[in-house]
Amino acid sequence: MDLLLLHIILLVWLSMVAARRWTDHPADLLLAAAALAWANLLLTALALSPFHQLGRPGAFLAVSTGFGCVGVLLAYLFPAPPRSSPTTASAHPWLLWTAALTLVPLGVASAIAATAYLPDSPAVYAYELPRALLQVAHGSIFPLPVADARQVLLPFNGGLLHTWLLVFGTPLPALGAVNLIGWVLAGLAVNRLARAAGWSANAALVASWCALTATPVLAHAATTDNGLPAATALVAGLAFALTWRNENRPVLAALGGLCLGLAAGSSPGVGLVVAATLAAGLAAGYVPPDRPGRRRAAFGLILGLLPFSLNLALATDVRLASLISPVQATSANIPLLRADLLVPLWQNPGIFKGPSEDSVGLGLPGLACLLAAALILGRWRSSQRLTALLAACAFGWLALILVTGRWFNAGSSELILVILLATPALAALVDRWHSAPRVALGVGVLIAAGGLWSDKLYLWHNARRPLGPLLYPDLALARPSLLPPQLENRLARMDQINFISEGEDPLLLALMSQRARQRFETSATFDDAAYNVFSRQHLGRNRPLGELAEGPAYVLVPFAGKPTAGVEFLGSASQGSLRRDYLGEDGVPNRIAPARENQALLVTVAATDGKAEPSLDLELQGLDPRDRAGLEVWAESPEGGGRLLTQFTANGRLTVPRPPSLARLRLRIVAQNDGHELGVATLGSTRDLDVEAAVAADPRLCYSEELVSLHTAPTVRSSEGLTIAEGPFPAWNLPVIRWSRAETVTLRVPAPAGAARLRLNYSVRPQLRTQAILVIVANGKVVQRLEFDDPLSWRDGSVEFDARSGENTVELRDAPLPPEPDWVRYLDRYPDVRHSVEVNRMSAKEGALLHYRVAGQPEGREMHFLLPPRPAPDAFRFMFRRLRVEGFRP
Amino acid sequence: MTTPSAHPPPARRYQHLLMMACLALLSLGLSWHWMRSLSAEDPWYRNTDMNIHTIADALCLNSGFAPGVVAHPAAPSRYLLALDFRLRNEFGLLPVWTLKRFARSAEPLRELTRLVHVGREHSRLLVIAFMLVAAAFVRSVTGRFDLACLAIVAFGGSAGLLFHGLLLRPELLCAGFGLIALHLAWLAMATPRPASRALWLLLAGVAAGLALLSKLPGLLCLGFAGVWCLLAPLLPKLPGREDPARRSAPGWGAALCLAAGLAVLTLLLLPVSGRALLDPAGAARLRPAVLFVTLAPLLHFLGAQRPVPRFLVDRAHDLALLVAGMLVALTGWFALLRLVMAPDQAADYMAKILNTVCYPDTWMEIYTHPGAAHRLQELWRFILDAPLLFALGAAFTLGLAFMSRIPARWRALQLLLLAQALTFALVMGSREFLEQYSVFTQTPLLLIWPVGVAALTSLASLPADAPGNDWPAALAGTAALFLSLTVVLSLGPKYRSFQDDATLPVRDLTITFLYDHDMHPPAYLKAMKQRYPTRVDFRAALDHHLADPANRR
Repeated sequence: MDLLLLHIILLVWLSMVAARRWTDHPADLLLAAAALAWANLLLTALALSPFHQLGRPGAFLAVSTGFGCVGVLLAYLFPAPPRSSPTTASAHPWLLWTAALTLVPLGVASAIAATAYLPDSPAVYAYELPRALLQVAHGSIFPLPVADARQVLLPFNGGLLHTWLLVFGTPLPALGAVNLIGWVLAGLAVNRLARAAGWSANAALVASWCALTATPVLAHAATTDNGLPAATALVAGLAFALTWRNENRPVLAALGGLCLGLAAGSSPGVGLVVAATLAAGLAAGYVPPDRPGRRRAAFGLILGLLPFSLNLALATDVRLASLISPVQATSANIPLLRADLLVPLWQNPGIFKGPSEDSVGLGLPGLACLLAAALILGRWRSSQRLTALLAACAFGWLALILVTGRWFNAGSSELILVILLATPALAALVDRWHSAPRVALGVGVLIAAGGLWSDKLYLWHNARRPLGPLLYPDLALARPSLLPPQLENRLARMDQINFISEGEDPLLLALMSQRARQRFETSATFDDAAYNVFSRQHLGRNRPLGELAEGPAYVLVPFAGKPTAGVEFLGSASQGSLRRDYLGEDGVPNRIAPARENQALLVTVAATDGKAEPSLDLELQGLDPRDRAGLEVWAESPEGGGRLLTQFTANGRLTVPRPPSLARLRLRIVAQNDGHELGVATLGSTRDLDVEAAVAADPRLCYSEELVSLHTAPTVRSSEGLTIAEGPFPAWNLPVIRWSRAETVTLRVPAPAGAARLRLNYSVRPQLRTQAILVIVANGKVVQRLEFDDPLSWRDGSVEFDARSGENTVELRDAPLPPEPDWVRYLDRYPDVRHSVEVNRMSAKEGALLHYRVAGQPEGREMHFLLPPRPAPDAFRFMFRRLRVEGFRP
Repeated sequence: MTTPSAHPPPARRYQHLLMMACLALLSLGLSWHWMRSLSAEDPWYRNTDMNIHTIADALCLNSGFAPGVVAHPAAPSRYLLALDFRLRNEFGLLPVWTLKRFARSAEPLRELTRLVHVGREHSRLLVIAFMLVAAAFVRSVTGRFDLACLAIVAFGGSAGLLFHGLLLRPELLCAGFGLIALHLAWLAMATPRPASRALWLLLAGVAAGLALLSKLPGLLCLGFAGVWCLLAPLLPKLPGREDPARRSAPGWGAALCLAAGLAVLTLLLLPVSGRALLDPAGAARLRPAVLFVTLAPLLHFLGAQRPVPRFLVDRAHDLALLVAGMLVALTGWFALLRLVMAPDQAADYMAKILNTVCYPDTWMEIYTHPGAAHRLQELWRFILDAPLLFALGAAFTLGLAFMSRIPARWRALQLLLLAQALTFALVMGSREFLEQYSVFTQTPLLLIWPVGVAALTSLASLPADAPGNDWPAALAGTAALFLSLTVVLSLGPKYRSFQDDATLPVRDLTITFLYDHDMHPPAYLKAMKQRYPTRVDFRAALDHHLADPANRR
């Protein structure tokens, strides 16, 4: 975090110092500094990527600072000439202060919301932020082998800002700062654009005020969507370009070109608009061919487009279809105009849904901007050519959104550009009202005030990221849990995670955001050095053979007594058609002990109909050579007969022809030595969603209760000394845990029906003490004694004992430590021993104890023993991450 | 223009100044005498809560070890005492100046006695220095030497100040650095040169940072310096002085702020025993300060034209310089530690200090436990400790505040000093250490007087050296000398009220402070244990040593 602060300070300073030599106006200075900083980050990423050093904060800082110093040097060597036209008037102070006093609270509220919630839009989850995390993990922005081509092939200038923050280990909620700054700069850019278009300072201020309070613009001030930064860059580029045209200062052309290049390299849509605007400007004669600075403008444009262009050139698998495939929306039927944002109608449930970043209307200022743009285009386009051109671009983009249907996929971020391009029309309209300029201003202010009201309602009633609970803790913060607890628990323990996804997974970001310094990868192949998480469509679980055309099927085959850990089911997440199942398998051998939950194999079956004859792709995961077993795949016909299709002796993939009359696939795990069956599962014509039944391993098992769990109501009663389950705590590498805080913790296990033996599985460590002794007493008899000398080392194990009819008790006792020799006193008492230890260069403790054992005790020397202090009655004694009681039939 | 006959003969003017100087010297001498005489009667083994801790930590610093538990910063007091020990050793005046020598000495108890005496002399010197610093402040504010001497005489009558000449506590340095910070802020707001203004502000921040490193309430000193920086530009200049600069030099000021911020960040990036220097909670408070300091000066680039934004930008720059100075104090402190300690020890000690300074919440909960006396009751106790000083000081200040003919700067400064006294009384009242903390309230209250006398004489609109200006100073000086002569009447009881541990046999608590308090550095505890293996052994040795009355003083 401190390294990031250092970088921010240096970057801001160097950019501002350079921009100061090239601009005069404060707003131009800030916009130019922002563009230079953004370009600095682009160039740094480009420079480090060939060496895969992008993920190293020190290297990033050094190279970026170097580029910044070069920029300052260039600015001092080639300063801009002073402005030829006189300084223009500024807005009325009352207007300025009123705008500031209303916009600052909005900014603060957005900042609170942005930094408190994780980003959660579908596009962000699907590819934008996962791409940034992957770039950091691999140290390069150049193409990587990923499942989703959009992660590498879509423009990512905006995403590089997130990559930069993630290089320095910034927590995910802090990424919202990028859009927040973009919101502020959007207001400045609109103001400068309106001024460059020839409108008065007051009118330009009203226009930027309305732009910032337009609900779609404000909504995205608190997200990580690239739409706002891209739109801001585009408007800033147009402002610089127009100012260049007005003042004939070539450096502004370079800045304009740079901003347009940054915008075009952030989003394909914005790229289209940039191209269209440039073409329209050239055609309309706004850029005379002999004007100096065109080369500088072109240079800036190319610089902004460089990362994306290089990436595209280096990509080996360009699948255009995936580029234009939309991200599935989480909600449909988004109205363009939300009347309920004008009146609080959503307090009537069922009439309107609550707004969110993807589902928000124009608001009053947005509506006013569009109406103004329509008026300018309709009535005064010949006298207001430039403003009409901008309005035309705005409507053109709006038409493109509606026609291609992107609106229903990307949400309200597409409206940002429409509103920002249309706001100069509002300024024009205010200035046209010569007869009553104060009235015109007053109307503009009222529109902005109306926008404030809509914004307040939006911020307060946001369905996904409401502001209320952040300000008033009494309000319930309704945040649905994104990940299944078992999956969170598992991810909290792992450093390297490989994510193998079948298809698109909107929760990828949440999976990749568990803990700092975890390395995430997404690939199609198993990684032997990482913990592998398989993401499957929920509907693929035991999918019937007749539905294989809709997607692959997966089956968990239970393997009773599997000697090594296999595939475990980690839970399901999301809703509806987006629901996903997660399974895990560790690539590192012996890191996870075999247990009931992970004694299974994963078989995936897919139909490949594109070949000459129908065939089945079979993939096996979870088998280890030490299991001494194999998997047989039997095809069964409707009449009941079966034949062996294929067999696996190791993990892998096989393709077999699909039998014509295939009714059922029987998957048998057989022992290598004698072929007896160890486990079986079938894939037939019906679906069975019971995963628990699929992984039941030991047929004797009749009872199982996990006490360290957030979601179970155990029948096992524990005494007060065992705390409630808490966690997981990814920041401290801790899963869900329970503490024992008493000298003796008693578990009372009710008599399970039919159980002859009980087993207690545990995973425990002292955590806070360097030495401790845990004694397990079952039904009054000591069954195990564990001695700990490392507070952070987990001890996994189990104890078995006979079950009693009636209640069984298991006691976990914190036994006192034995007395320790007081070697300090021994050395103090016997200086000759001390001298000997010093002369022989031994450690004081070792030397003293050795002497006592070898010579001191025979000589009758005295050694005192100290009783170690006992912990306080309610001290934290032991930390459990697993305490499971199982019952077995005879 | 005044006629030559209105100028006093030089001899008469000098006579007055000489008289005031003599009064000041007499007051200094009397102060030294009262502190020394009280100290000479006092047993050396009396701890008065912190004496032995400070000595043990100073010995530890000289040995290159980091002190043990840091419950309050107190860093400058320990460092200066360690430096004093080192210098005396260089001149052959103190053979035992490190823990190693202490451990190897033939008679540790005798050495400890000597160290206590040296420490008390050290404190007396600091008190004298404090009085001189106060005089310098008054000289800068009023422009008059005689009023500076009046300040010395007035402080000579402050039992709250002289009390610290008998102790080894950090409050004296905290109040002293706070005074320096206010003085430097005054100079910054009075200088006509923008570059000097930036430098003075930075140094004021450094002084406030040293006050904070001495004791946590030192943070308030930064606040008061900041308040002066906000007020002063709104006030007209003092008559006869140059127009003060409107703002600090943007270039120099920005460069100083940037350097300070980067230095602190570099310090935060320093790993200590494999972990970050600062705990996350403390770092979360320091980082916004760093960001403010480094980025606020950039507001000048925006070139605000309107008066209000321009004023806000300039004040932000001033505050940034103050905070930058404070950050410089924190990092500069580390550099000083590195001069006497190994890198890992210096980093470890620095980490403890920084964590205490930046995240004192845990200690504050212990120190200001709920259920303590009501704040207003404690404020009343402070007032009752020096009722005349509070009452007369407040009346004087408020009376002058309504006199529009008095320069606004002086009136504002008096009000600020009164506010400072009341604020410290409220803040420090949450703990029950009235005697030790009264220096925080009495210092600003005493400073009100020389400023007020200057303000009163300005009503006559006479030149500064006119004879009509002398008599108020002389009168006030005489009154202050009377206080100086009689201060022992309040100082003695104040000190003796803590003498419940002066009797023999020595109390168990005193044994703990001398022998095995858990806040002592581990090296000190080890040295004691090596010589006296058990408490019983130590008590026996101490009783034997104190059996001779000559060994008790």
